[in-house]
Amino acid sequence: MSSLQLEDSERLLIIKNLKKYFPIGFSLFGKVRYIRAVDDVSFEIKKGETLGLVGESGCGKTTLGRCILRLIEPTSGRIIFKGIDLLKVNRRQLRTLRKYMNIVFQDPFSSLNPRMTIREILMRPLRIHKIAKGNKALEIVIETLEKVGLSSEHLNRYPHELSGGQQQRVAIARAIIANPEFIVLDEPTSSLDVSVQAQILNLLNELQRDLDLTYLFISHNLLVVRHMSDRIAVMYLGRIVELADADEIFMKPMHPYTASLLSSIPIPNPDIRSKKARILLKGEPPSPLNPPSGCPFHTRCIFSSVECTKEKPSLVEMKKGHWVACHRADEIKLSSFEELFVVLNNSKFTLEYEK
Amino acid sequence: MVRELLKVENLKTYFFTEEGVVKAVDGVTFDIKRGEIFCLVGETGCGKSVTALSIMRLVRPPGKIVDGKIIFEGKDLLKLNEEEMREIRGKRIAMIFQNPLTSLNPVFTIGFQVGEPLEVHEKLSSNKIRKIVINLLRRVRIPDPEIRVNAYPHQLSGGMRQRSMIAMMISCKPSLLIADEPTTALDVTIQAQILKLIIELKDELGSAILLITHDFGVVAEVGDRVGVMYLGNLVELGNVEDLFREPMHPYTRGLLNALPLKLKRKSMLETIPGSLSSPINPPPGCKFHPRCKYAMPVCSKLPPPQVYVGNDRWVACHLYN
Repeated sequence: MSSLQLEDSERLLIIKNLKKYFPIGFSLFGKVRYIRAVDDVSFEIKKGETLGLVGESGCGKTTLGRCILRLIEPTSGRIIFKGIDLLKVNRRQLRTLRKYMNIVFQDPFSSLNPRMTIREILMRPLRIHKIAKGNKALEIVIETLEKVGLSSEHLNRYPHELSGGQQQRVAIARAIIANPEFIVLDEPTSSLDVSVQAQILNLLNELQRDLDLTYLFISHNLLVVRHMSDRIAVMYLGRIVELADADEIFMKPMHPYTASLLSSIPIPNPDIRSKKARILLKGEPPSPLNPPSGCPFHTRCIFSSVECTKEKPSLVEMKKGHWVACHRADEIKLSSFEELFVVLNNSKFTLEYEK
Repeated sequence: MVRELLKVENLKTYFFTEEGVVKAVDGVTFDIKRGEIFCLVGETGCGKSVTALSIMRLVRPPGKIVDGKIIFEGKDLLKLNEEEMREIRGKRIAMIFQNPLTSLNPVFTIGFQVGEPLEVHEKLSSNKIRKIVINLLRRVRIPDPEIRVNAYPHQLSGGMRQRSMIAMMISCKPSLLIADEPTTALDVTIQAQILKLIIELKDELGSAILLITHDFGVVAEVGDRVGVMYLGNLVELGNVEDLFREPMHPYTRGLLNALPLKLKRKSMLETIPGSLSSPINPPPGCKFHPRCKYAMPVCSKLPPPQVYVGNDRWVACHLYN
């Protein structure tokens, strides 16, 4: 596991063997049954990078994001943030540490208190973390609103008076107001329209540059994740199956699941429709309540062998910085996902549609 | 045989709310040819779903179709009485929605619900219906159809529920299928399976499909022709290949440029300035003009007509007038 570990100064967050099992009643013989939402996950996040986390619904990506901030208590494992093990600190210490990390949720409307004005929503973190009071606090609130593209005229509005995009801007303002270093972005644009999504993605990238932020970007939209991330981790049934540089994972995926995910993306270019090599998966994701033996993906994998049904593959570094959990990663040949790059290289898309 | 299956002419569907009149669909004209996949694409509130509901005549008060014609297989649907319309719904035109869980009734089995259109329209015996239903479920690739026919909606996964809805939709072999965001609630691998199924069924049945989506990726994957909507108006209409090769309306261009498709990651995406205007008080003239970088003085005065620009292509923009 040597090169999974980065230089100490580079690492902001280290996740080690993180597990979250949700108990869900008893089996026939009185044993507690669990859903293994996050099942032995290890990775690191570098300072200043965006790590993208993709996977289908129910793969555990949201649970993982919340476990990292201890919004959900993990079952076991270690979360080391700036050298401190978050699972060993008490509630009061955790509250102090929360100043340095925050989260933005998918649905901005339900994540903002409907009875509070924007001013009250943004004043709260300043009060809780004892950053500022009174006029000084108001100054910071206005400054932060301007950073996210809103202004002082929004101060006395209630969330329902704002559009979805503006609400998400408020949620982002709340996340950055206490000067955090790390933000979990959980599907921040999934409930927004394309044109608004572009505005929010631009804003997030700008803020990252200006405020030196580190992101965990969770999404099911692969094109959005690629645009936002430096590295991408792919999750399936509670486990990370592949982790690599964002372009590398699109160009040379090594896990069959990643390859099939990529080939399923509807690409907005009709010219490549016929050329596309689709790897359609058999069936649907198995229930996390009753995961398959061995490799959790073997039931849907066209390459599965006897070994795959018996033993769980662990995440190993196949190439520098490219981690894969697949028994057959070195023998199978996956078609690369170059269609996307054909589109991206296509002048029509890179030079913008102009008159 | 006429190639046009459906002709929508100057359709206007308004909602008379307490705050004012919402012109959800405000003068939309297009046609759908036999056997093609016609996509309506646009952002939230552009009127694409209301257009579909208007065709089915399922607009509920305070909504009302106030003007226009909907000619389907030679008949104006807006002139039919409720009895005649019921003969068409489910039999000649069938529709599926975004969320299969809310469109399926939780207290009836899949078999009963998929068979219902057959019972209503074809008046077959229950034994016969059961056999047909099992066949339909097999056709939409539901594994173990003999068992699933007795399942309740909550016992199926999202993908299988949408497959059951599709089975129900094709049960009477309608000539027009309307699918309103059929894959939006599904995961990308399941979405790919469902889109493939829709194309296969279209080829098998020869039905035309009106596909409503907000995803240009889905349009490019399956569409033959596409109409782009903005605030109740159809701003552009054409073959999918042409529209993607050369989008003409500034709004279409803006939307395509806003997609996160840049070779260089984290680079700035182009955005459409401003935000969606209120549908109660839309801007005068061209509704897009306050956000349009090509806006001219005429744009704020006159609504642009739908102009034919050749090659089966229409655009509603003063730039092409």
